[in-house]
Amino acid sequence: MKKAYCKTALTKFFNDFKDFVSLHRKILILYVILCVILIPISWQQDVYDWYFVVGKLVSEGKNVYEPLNVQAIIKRGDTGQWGYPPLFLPLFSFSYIVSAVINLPFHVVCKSLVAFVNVLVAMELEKIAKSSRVVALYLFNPLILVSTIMQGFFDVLVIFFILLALKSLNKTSSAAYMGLSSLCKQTAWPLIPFFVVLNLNIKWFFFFLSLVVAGLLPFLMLNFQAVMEAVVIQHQARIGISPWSTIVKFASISGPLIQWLNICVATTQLVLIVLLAVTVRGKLKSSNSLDKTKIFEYFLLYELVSLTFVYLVVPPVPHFLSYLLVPTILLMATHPEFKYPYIFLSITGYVVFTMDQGLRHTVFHYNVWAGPIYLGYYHLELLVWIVGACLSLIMYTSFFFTFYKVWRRDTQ
Amino acid sequence: MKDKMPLVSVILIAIILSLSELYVFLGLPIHVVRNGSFDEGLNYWNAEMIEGEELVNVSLGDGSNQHPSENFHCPLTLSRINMTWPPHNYIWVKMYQLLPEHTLVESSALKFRMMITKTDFERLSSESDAMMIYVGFMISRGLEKKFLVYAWVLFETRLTRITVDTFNELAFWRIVRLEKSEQRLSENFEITSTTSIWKDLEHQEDWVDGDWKIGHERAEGIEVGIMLWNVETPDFSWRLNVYLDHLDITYYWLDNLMP
Repeated sequence: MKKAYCKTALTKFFNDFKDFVSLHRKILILYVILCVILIPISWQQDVYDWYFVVGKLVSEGKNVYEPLNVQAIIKRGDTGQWGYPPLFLPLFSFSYIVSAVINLPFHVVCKSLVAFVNVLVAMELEKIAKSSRVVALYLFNPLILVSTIMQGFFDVLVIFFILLALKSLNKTSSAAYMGLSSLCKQTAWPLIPFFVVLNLNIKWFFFFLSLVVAGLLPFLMLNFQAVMEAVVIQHQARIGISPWSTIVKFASISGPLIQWLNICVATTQLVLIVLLAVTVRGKLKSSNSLDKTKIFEYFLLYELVSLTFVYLVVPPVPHFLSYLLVPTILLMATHPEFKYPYIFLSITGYVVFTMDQGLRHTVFHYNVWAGPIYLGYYHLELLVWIVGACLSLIMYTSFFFTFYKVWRRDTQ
Repeated sequence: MKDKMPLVSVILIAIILSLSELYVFLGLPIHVVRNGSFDEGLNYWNAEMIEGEELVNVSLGDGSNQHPSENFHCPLTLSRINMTWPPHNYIWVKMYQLLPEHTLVESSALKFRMMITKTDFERLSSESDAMMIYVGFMISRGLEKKFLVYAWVLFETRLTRITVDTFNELAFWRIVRLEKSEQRLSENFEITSTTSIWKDLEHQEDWVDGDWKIGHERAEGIEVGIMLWNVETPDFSWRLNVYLDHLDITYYWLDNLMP
């Protein structure tokens, strides 16, 4: 029975993919050309050295949640310790093995996978929006181009699972997709309450929790403390404590009080997010809950506000903004007003990338860039901060203006 | 076409921004080179943290504000480094000084002497995996720049090995010499070294003879740095004081100054 179901699902997927490719042949050829040009010449050096080390260690069967001190390279990978949930690990180890076998640079293999997931996201977007224009809007968006095929972040996989979860919102399968996205990266965690409160049933919650626990269990059994430190404590920024600690620092509080304050901040964030999710549920129930557009509207708003609770402001870097961009593109199919947030999100992410991420992480590897890169790291920091803050404000304004306009029109 | 307007406008804005940013960046005079780390206008030793953020303080003792003398003899004492719960497992402190313009000649030499007390050395080696001290010279020939590094590895572990490849990613770096100490912990740690820079450079595989210069106008000079790997952080109040006594660098660029 299960075998037949899997076979049907796979056949359906391949047929859908074939149809998608034949329908968007020109766009995809252009996308492949862009990938062929951009993938080999750019990668995020520090991050990709880390991915490489971790991919190598995983393929050697080592527990990457323990600091292994593999070698003293002056980069993030210097201890070989992974700082996220485990679902990206098979992708890195697969990329490591393939790159060794076919003698291609690791980042090229890894980013080709990212590009493929990008195409899958575009395919799902088209299915959900029932509009073919979303494909180009997504694939050729500068923000998506830099965060995926240039920087090579795998956040796009988290987004893919979130999209699938949204598509099957009231079904148990959404629990599986949310479970998978939560096992990828902590950025998906603030979105969990949204799906939980819209699926208040034991079966959904059990399914979700079982998947998450099953994914983490082998690593927790190997070294519980190391996993907790690497996934939760080390990456506090991913769950939101760290940006708030800047405020705590300004308040000149020291000693154990800081830890208590951090716990208070984290608890407050959790409470606010749950309250937000409950409010969204109430709003959705009072409106037409079968209206998919309404769900996406509320999801986007939930994403925006919850990420603001968690990060103080949504970090204006491409791989964070892409979480907001995807539902924005979906909504553009029904509400043309969402073109404003689309434009401001893209530009904000792109500017901050070129001024901060691109410079700081040495994305391009040419001598001509060496000067501006290092100049950028230290001397543009304040400028990047000011520009990023101003653009973020414009971005927020564009979102709330759009929501105001759309909802006002709906009530008329 | 109307459907494609948002995408077209976003792509156009991105292209215009890229071009204008590129124009601005490339048009700016590049005074600062990270990892070569010299700053125009500074003619005294300056301390800088690369990794470890503001939690690590460096204060310079005697000799900290000495202007480079005419004979290029610059004694320096790095008196103290305080470290409180470094957020990184890699710490890099360095000091640098601009120098008057001078051409690298055959007699150019480096004399380096440094001592760490036994107590500090014991603690450093027990609380971190590896430690290195280096002296670097930023030199240039036309538009080409190189940062020549003499490095001494004080200690390392089997898993944290410091090699020339460790510094592959650092811009302009050229490790001229990497010496590893085998000194035991039973006494104060000392390094005394005198070497001919010219001869060391001649041994480099791809070295090109030419008019290599250090020059204040091009923001070039000498740098002393300390790197610590994988510092253990037992608790939030962890603190480490390092006292480097008698850190003394003398370097010569003229024939008649060679001892």
